Amino acid sequence: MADNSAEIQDLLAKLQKAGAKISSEPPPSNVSSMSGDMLTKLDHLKITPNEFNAWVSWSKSF
Amino acid sequence: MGPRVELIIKLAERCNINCTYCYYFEGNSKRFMHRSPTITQTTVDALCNFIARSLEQQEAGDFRLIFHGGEPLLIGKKKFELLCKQLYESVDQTKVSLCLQTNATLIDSEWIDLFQKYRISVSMSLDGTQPMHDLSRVDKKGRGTYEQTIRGLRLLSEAVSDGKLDGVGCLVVVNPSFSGRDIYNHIVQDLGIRTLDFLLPDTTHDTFTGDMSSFSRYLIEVFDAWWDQKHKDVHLRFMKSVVSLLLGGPSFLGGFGGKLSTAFTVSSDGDIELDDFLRVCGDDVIAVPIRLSDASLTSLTRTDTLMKIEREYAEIPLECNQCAFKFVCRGGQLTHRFAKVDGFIRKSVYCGALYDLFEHAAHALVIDGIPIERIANRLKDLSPNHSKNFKSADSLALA
Repeated sequence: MADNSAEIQDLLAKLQKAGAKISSEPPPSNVSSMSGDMLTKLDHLKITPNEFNAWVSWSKSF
Repeated sequence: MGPRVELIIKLAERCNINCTYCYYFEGNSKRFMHRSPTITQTTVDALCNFIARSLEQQEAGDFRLIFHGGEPLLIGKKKFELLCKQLYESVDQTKVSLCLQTNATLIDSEWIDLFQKYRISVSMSLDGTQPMHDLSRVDKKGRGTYEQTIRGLRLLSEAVSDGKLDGVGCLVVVNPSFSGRDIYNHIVQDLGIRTLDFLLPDTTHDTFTGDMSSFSRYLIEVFDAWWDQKHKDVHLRFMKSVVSLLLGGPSFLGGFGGKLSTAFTVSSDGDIELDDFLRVCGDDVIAVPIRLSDASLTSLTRTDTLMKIEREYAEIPLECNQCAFKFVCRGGQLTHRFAKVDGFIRKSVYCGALYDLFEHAAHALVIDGIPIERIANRLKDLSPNHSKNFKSADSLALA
């Protein structure tokens, strides 16, 4: 019987590409007081550290 | 302790406006015409007895009553207050929460005082900007009702600011001929509403017509507008459910992505029907052959009609077998799976739009740093915290 594993693999490959694209881009140079990972994340989200903390809290609520 | 039970109470079986898409008055069922225009005292007595009995026998843990219509405010203030007073006097107040879904056009300061006095959570219907709202939500003469609705919203918002009410919710019916982002921004940014939901139009496999790509575009626009503001504490039930389901959590929308909620509809005359949102499937689907005065909760949950629906909904449609999101979406929302010829066993009529939305949301999560493995486990139904016994919250009102 057919299952969904092939379609899941296709989807995960697409998601992998999206994730890789984000992690390969360098952090911005105009903020220096935070770690590189956080800088990259905030830059892509275009939000402030406080807003990011709120988002982390929000995402944990699920 | 028993489950939370939702009762949709038809305070009025008439409406002061005439929305073109109304599932209640514009659908095939004309049962409302034979019922009392507003809830009878006999029904109120039976309702209070039913709730007290169900709590005493521990068949229910607590009740959420959603005052509904037609337009529920047509009941009138005096009768509304007597009903609330009787309810609170006859049952443990901590076991009953009261909500109301209104078109907001009749709200005045006296209604606000009643909502405050009886701790009513209020949700209103608003379809977005004036051109969109006035397209469908019209009065009996075909005139748009946006201005009256906004007047009601202003009173509600002032009451929230004054601490009289906890908040106001908003339901929007999706119309893909407009921009989802524009509608979202108008409601959230212009009008300041923080709790809302977008409802896909009531339809089944027997009635659906539409362009799926336009629904995809609209839903993704709404998702993106909401996602951009996720740190601002905007609760959008549909999209929050989509994200939650992708992360192995529950759906917050009854009949979507998990177990059905326990909800029944009580007519003004005391007839009982299944959850009101199933009405579009036909009178025979929602009929319950028990009157409120004779009902126990156990007897209601064991009716043939409900058990058949639960059986069919528990199965993921065969058509979904190869879909990556089959364990997340589970065939879509209950009503959208319905066809007269074979019940609820098909995938949603909105399948294409739901697929696009889930894929888009998964991308957004990954870009925000959610590990792909977490989503992969969920897609494969391997999430450790994923429970098949979903709890679903079926009311938008701010309980």
